[in-house]
Amino acid sequence: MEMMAKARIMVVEDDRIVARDIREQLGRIGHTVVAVTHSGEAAVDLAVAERPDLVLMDIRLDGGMDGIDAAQLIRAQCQIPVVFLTAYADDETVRRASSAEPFGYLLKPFEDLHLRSVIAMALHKHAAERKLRESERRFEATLSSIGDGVIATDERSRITFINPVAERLTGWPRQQAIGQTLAAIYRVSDRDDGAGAAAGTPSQATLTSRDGRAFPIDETRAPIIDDAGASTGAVLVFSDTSERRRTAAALQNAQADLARMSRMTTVGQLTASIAHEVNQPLMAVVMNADACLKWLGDPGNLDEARAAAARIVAEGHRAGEIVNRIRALARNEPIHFDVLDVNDMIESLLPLVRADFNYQGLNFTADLQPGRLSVVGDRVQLQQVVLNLLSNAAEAINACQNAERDLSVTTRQLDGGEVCIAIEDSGDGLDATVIERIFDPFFTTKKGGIGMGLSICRSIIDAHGGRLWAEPRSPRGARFRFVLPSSAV
Amino acid sequence: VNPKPETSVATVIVIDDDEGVRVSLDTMLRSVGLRVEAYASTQAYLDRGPRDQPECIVLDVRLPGRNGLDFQDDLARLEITTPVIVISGHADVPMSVRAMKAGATEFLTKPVRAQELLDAVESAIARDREIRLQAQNNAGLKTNFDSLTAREREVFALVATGLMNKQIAAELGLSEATVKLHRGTMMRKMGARNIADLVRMADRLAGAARTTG
Repeated sequence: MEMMAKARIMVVEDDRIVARDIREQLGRIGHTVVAVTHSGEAAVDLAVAERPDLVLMDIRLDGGMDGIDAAQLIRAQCQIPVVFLTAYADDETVRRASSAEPFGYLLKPFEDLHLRSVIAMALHKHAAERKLRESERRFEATLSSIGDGVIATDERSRITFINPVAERLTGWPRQQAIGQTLAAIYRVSDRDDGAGAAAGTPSQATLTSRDGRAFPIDETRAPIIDDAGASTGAVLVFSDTSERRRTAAALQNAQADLARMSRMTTVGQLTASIAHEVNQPLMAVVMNADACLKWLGDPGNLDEARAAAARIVAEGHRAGEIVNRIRALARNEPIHFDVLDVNDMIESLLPLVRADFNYQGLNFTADLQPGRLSVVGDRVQLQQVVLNLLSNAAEAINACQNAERDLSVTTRQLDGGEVCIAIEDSGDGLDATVIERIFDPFFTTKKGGIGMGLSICRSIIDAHGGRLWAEPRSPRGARFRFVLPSSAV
Repeated sequence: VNPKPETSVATVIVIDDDEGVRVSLDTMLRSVGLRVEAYASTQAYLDRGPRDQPECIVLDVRLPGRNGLDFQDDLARLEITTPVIVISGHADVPMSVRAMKAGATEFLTKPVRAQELLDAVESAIARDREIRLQAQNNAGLKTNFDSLTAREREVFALVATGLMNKQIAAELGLSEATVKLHRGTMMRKMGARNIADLVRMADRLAGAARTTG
């Protein structure tokens, strides 16, 4: 206490003798008296003008305003701490004085030591309060400037704080919101609590604002715990996720479009093969039909005519099937996950590629494990991956000078029930640095390639909960494998 | 086309790996009375070995392994002169040029019109007959030529270049009478009626010698 800073003090006392004694006492203990007055009204004015560190205020004063009223005004206008002086204290006075939030009482007459300690306590308490106020202001400024909505409630779920974002999202201005129950202004529905709504884990919900607009939000709740461990309220942080959801949906659409375009490119590379495949049955239809007419002529052969007619029907269906297969690949439908047989998915592609591979002089084999290999997936997207990998493999073989021209697709069910599809080629293979980057977007080793094919393949397999990777094949070439989870639950 | 009686002994070779197409070509060609042999690969046809009969080949240019154009090269190397009709899908213009350069008699695009194919088959077989007839004639000529003595061959060569008996006698260091004698025997053995005949024979013999390398 000896080291206490010198304070600037105002004395409000209507008894001039007492006032003089106090001034002397204060001087003895090292403080400065900046003003002395006997009226409440003057005290308020002087406090504003002089800005003392502390006011010693007699409760009973001359004139219309007593010490308690004056103290309340001073506190409201200047935040200056007030210590009451009184000779007696009846219950009513003490109750009124308490409402003015005094920083201490001094019962007259008082001694130096007593005065000194009360002043020190008052100044200390005032400094602590100021720090708290600053902290609160800083806290509020922070919460007001962040992009999320913040609402704080007391232990009875009444709103004690709402930041501008929360005002905008709920449609409730702060003045009207403070004191309301949370349920009245924060109307949420469809809350998905995720893993049991643990504190700090965002849950998703729909918030309906005061004017009836509904939008998706992420929210986080944290209880405010006091020193005794009891909950004294909660802080709620929430954000509007509609923009993020729109972006995510747009991104998904863009990816689907890209995947489809890549598929069309792959199909386009097969055009010559497809034209050949469609022409074969057409050719057979034309020849059989012509033969049928001739066998029906004179001299005729009805058995031959009948056989030719039957072949026309069969060849017509064969053409139809090929057209259906191409259309299935070219369709622009939303991704549709279903249980499908991997073998069947691959088998239906073989007629589209086999002739072309044969023509390119490739030794193409399909080694499909007998039986159904069920997975959950989008048939067209998986076909796109297989076609893309096969077409890359064929290019790799054509680009090299190796005598072997082996290309294969293999299906196997693994012990864990997963289905593994492997596409191998006997080309020059991939060196280690390339294998690392081959799935990166825009990475290509081909002249004129845009480097999206494998990147799209990987994103398709990822979306199926599977894995796609490349590895060297022995003695030469590359092997691409992808594993899809079994459809069995 | 009404197949002529002599065409019925000719055979059309169909080579196509697509069973549906192969069977349809087979029935269509048979429906007009042609003999047909159908093969799934060029190798199967080559394994069969040559036959002494007029034929033509109907070939799909897109065959597994070695394609139709490579097959034409094989035929040339094996001295197989059978005319080839190449059938192809669309968008194969450069290939059609190559096929024709390699000696295809006709290049048809799928789906082929039956009449077009029959016309092509008819002219290909006619051409094969001609080739075979000429080959036969050439073979007779060769036999005649082989029956000449060394001296007669010398006289043959000089007569064919248009020299008079006197010039030939000087060239060979013989008397004009001896030359006349050799010349008479040589003309009889070769079956030549006059000098113009003999000059043509000399040309054909030279041509045949060139083609058989």
